[in-house]
Amino acid sequence: MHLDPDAEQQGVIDAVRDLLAHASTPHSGPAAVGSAGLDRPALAALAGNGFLDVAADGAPGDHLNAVLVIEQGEQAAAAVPIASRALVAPYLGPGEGWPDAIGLAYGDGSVVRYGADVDVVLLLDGASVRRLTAEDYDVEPIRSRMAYPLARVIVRPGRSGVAVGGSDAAARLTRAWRSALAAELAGAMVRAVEVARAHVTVRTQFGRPIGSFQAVAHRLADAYVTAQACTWLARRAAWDLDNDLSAAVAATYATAMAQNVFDSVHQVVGAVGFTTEFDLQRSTMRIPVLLAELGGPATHARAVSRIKWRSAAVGERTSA
Amino acid sequence: MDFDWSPEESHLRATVRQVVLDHAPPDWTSRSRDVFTPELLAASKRVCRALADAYVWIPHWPAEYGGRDASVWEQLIIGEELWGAGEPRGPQYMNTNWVAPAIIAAGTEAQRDRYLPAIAAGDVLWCQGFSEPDAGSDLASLRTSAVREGDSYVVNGQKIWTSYAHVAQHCFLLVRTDASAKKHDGISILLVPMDLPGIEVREVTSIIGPHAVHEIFFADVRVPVDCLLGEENGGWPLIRKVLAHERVGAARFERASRVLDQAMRSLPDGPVDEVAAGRAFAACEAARALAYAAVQDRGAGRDRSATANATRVGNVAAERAVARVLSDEAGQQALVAGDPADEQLTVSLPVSISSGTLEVQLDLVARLGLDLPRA
Repeated sequence: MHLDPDAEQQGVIDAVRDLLAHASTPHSGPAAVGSAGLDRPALAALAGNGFLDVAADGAPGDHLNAVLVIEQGEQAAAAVPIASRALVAPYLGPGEGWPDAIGLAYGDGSVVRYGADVDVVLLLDGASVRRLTAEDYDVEPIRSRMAYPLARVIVRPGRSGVAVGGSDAAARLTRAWRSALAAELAGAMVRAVEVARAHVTVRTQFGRPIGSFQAVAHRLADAYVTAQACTWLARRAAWDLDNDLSAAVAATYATAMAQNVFDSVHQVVGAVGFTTEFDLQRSTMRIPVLLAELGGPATHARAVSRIKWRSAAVGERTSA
Repeated sequence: MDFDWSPEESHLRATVRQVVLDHAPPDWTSRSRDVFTPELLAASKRVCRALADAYVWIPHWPAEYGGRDASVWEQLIIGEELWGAGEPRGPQYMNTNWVAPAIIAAGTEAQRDRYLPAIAAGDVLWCQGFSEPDAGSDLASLRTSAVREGDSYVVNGQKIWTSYAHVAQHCFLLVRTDASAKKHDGISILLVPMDLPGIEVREVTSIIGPHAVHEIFFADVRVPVDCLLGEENGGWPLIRKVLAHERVGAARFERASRVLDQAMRSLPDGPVDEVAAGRAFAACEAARALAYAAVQDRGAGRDRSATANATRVGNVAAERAVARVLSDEAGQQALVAGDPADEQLTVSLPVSISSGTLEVQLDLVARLGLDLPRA
């Protein structure tokens, strides 16, 4: 056990941070209906420097490197679908020749981040995973306040795409997606807490910075602790990506706690946090999107219980 | 970053677990740690001696004092296995985790010779005289006085909320030796024999259980000056380090996780609320993740990190989440003293108060982790 980044890991963190600081063109506000949204230059820069292929070899450390890239993407609020391409797709099908922009769909007709812009959609359809290309599906952009561009992906009649990932594809996709979700939520939380921290440090009321009031400081400190725990759970899940429980735990904790962080950072920032010109919403308005993916928070929590205790004396008394 | 345990670390874990299986009473619980009967006290000493026989009692101590300079990760593993089993070392977990390390760090050679062999033998009990009726979260405002008279300090005052005072032979006592100095600068540490004339211990009866907390009264207690640990008036910096040790040593998440696991496996028809149970388990794992980050910081010598305080915050959430699940599942059975849900309630109650309140931890996270301005 050693939790400080080694030279290679630190190099990934630093390089992706620098790259996104220069290449990324963040939205000034929530995506509008029909907005392209996806930041192609930033995605191309990540791909060109090999950061979308850090997990291509499939070793545990490689998956962890992918999570480090995902964290940095969210900490920059970059408009690039990193997780699907850097972690999920290569874990599902190494050597498949994945394009740069991949969407993840939890059933036919579901809402997909960057759904209108991606090159390929991976559709979790019951026990199988299908690779859909543009001719396989229709896209309905979603009008939304959220800080990801969203679109509903609907499989065209008579089309089904191509099955990928073998007999355990659904389980593999679920593990990787859960780990990625946890990392994305962790990154969004870290950034949101930092934006709020900077604000309460300089914003004065009653003659002093509002961050010096315990009522403010404690909420933000609690959010900070949550963000740190999410970060570590996502990293551990990536290290042991074949472990169903670690991935479900990471997603469960992140999705159970993210709303608290959302509430706390907006509360301490006050009304300015509502505004599109203020930086906070670029991260917080991603959180509801992430919470709604892959069945939602209760699905992950129920999975933890079933993975941990179903094989013991525990039955299936509670319905899904 | 590397999340794997080495073969040596896995072997250590297996060894500690086997000692617990072989020597700890099967009905030992977290409440037993307060050794409120002679039988519990004797059982805890047997476990300590068995750990010593298996060379897993003080591996993190320096080799010259009987340890082998083991890493903080090994100390964590021992803490996980023993807290997970309800801490069958009883009060002596404090001895190895922070009392002895404090003596090693700041004691004289004579003090090390006097105190460490008994601790290493697993046969001596200490308590910590920290809190006072008017010095709780603001510990540095403590008023128990120690006035130098010849070759003694004359101690007067009162300590409260003290665990293990009913059985302890020594007290790691915080006293004020300079009333005129700024409050953090006038504090010293005395290693006080509990059989000195003028010391009186009274149990404070509580809803936690027998002998959970005590008061200690000091009336003109003459403590030899060679019981001073470190510099006179230099106790506060040492205490800060001591508390950091304590926070890492208590693997509450492991105990809470095992209690949850046992409860879920014992339910005949499965958990009624799988979502709550899953979230409670995840909360335990989150606290574990925070604790590991704290261990990493401690091993790297990063003393001004918020991770130890963050771990305490995580532990509070984990203990409470498990208590909630067990209470909900048990229904009215949770009202019966000794039921696992009842035990978990009483364990989770003080976790946000003892060893520094949750609010103090959040203050420190705000300052150390977020660099927020002071009030």
